Amino acid sequence: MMKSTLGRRNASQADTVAKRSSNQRFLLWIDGVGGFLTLLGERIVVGQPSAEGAVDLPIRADLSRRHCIIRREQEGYVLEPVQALSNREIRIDAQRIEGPTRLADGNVIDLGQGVKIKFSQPHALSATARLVMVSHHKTQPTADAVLLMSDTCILGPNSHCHVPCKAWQRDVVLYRRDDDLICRTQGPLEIDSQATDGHATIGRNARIEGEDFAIRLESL
Amino acid sequence: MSLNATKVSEEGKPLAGATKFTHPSGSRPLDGYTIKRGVGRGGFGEVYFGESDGGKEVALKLIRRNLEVELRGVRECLNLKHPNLVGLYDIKSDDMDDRWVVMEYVSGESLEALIDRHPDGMLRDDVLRWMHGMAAGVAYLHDHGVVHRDLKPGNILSDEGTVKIGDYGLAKFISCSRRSGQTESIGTIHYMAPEIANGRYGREIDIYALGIMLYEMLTGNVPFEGESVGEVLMKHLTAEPDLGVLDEPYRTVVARAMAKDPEKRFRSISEMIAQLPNAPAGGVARAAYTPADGPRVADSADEQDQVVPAVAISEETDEEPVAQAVRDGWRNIQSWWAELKLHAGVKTLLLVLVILGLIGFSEAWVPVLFSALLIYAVYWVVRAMVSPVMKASGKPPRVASPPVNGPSQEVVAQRIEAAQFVERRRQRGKHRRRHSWRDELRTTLVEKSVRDKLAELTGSMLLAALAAVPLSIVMCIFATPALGTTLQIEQAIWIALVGTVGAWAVMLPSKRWEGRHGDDGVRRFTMLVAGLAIGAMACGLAGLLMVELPDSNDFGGQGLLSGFHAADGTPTMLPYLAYFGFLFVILRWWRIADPLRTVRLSLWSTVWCVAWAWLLAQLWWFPQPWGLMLAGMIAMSTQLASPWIPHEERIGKQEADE
Repeated sequence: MMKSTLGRRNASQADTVAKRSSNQRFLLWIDGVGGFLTLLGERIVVGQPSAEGAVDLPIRADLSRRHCIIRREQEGYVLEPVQALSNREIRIDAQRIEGPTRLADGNVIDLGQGVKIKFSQPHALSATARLVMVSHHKTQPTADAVLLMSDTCILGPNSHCHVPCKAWQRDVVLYRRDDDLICRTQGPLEIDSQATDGHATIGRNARIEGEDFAIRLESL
Repeated sequence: MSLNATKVSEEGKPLAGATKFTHPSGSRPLDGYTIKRGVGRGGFGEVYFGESDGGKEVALKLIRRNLEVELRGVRECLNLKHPNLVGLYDIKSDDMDDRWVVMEYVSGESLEALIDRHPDGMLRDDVLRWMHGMAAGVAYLHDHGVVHRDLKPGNILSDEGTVKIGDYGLAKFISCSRRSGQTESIGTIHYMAPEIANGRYGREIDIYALGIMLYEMLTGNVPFEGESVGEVLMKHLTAEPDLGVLDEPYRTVVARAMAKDPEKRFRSISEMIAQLPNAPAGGVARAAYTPADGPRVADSADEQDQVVPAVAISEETDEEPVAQAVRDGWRNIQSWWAELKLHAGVKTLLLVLVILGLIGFSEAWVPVLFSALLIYAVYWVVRAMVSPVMKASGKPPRVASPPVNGPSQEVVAQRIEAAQFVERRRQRGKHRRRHSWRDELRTTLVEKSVRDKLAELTGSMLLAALAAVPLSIVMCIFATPALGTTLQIEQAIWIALVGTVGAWAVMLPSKRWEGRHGDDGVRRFTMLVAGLAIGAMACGLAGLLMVELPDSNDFGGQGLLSGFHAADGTPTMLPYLAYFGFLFVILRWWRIADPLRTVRLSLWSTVWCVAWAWLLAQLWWFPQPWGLMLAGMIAMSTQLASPWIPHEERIGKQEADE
């Protein structure tokens, strides 16, 4: 009895994981700030862009199709090389890693072949992480940074925001409830040109506008 | 869309940091391209990041000022190809008849952002990499007959380690923001060569800008900084950059690139770059994304407000050349003094030594100065008479020099003219505004009741008397060594009394005239009468107190007129009357009692009064230094004692006015 419940829970967990890792991606276009590849999945496959689209975070670089996996575990992240590669070694802060390794704020991940990514978790109260290319390589599609979005993602004028938007007056928070994405801010807010009371569920291609900002989601 | 790009706040100013764009993400104003996001805004319009239907990432520049001539410059550059230039792909029109420039999207950070992150200067190797990249791109432009005209760190980008120069071929506005966003096309005065003021746009201006950027990369600061547009422009025109902080060969290169005279600069980019060390291998560093690196949108409110400096210069260049040269020289000395890195105490000591030296050798230089002034006065009068004739005879107006090379020279000339117009209008507006609040303040002064005025006057008179005591003591202390005698108490008393009465003589009529515009003639006549009265009083008082006023020859000659001495050598009444009468008639004394004067105690006004007193003494003998001391004392105690409206109150008034 116990076992079966457990088994069912595992199965449902696996389902969610599968669902989230496949296709839970969108681009966050913010006027005057940048474009951000946002990944909702708990398990992110990093690799070369491929036609099959099985890669969550494709980087236009000389990498393997499935180069490594970044997993969200509780409040932290673990980097896991996909297989032992004789000629491709992965390093974190210049330390070569053999197996799954926990990532810390400020780590620089070296995927080999000159591909370097900086990992950070800017906000203390959110598990959402940010990846920024340190080397000249670009993601596919091109983005200024990658957001591994946990429950919330904060856009705002402060440096600890996941997306710092210097010119803004106040924060805009995106958060997840079940499978919905909700946007919240103080002050006027329009979703797809419909005025709301500063708190609304948004679609995967929504246009969000406020007093001094304009954001659009583009699902991938 | 109700929240559109031109949204303004209630105050009518654009919202601080408004990041709103005309075309939202996802729209397709231009056939074949999808807008992804707005990147920045410049004087010409907006820049977007977009993608073609085929998946090519591009930057889309929307040219709102839809002038054919403006696009001509871009069109001429459309087929230029160089790895260090941002590639231009095409010019297109949309349904609204707006023009778009489709160009290469550069994702890296700008040199501006890099300099901002290195406030103490960048690494030498990086400086050289950027410098060589920029030089290659600019040399290519020059080789194709194009002058960039707006080289500045905000226009220089890096893409995967390659330096990319942007914004070439666009007609330029000139504004004063030092740092503007990556996509800003408004020029900044910090990189503007001096000859631009005269409408000269040769390739030398690019070399000048490169010199400034080299300096800025090495030190983290532009060589000429200032509070206002005018200040920075004036420095470009007259000041020398502080090259002491640079080492060789950079010092020589910057010095030559920044020569005021374009003929003295490097003749070509290659000549300039040949003097620098070779660029180390590797590309320019690509920095990780940080918020500061994001393209910033210029605060358009500020920009618009401060458009264009050129006017200030062109007006001033019509000035009398000798006076200008003297003033420039003085300014140079001032800035040299200000930048002299010495302890404040040492500086003061130096100043005192110089002054003592000047006093000690006054016999040598005073006659020379006096003759020079006389000659200048004659020259000035002749010039004043001749110059209207010259102007009438059709001296060509100052216009932009004929196009040397590069596209749309006439556009730039037009721009400058337009900008000058804006500036003139703005200044006029400002003047009007200043006048209106000034006038209003004047009215309040006039409207003051007689009782208030009397109360104020008696207060001021009392103050003047109080101020006269310490001033006379200080002056006597300084005067005694010059005379070579000991100080007598009667002298101090006499000085204090005459000074006090003199100040009263200025303050009494000034109070009556306060806040009114009056006829100078009448006022001067009144002052003449007051001066004569003071002269008589001073003479009488001298007799009464039996003051001896020994004359020191250090301060001037015997005067042009004789008969001023009694048989025993003491001065008669005549020199007193002549000296004070003329002193009061020649200067507009009421100005230093005006409550709306610029500063309460102006050293300049005081020096001016003393200088005139000295000049007078050359014509009418009066025992010196007593005459000079009195002139200085009347000026100082009047200013100290007269009411003065502080600037804060005036500003308050001004704001209330607006």
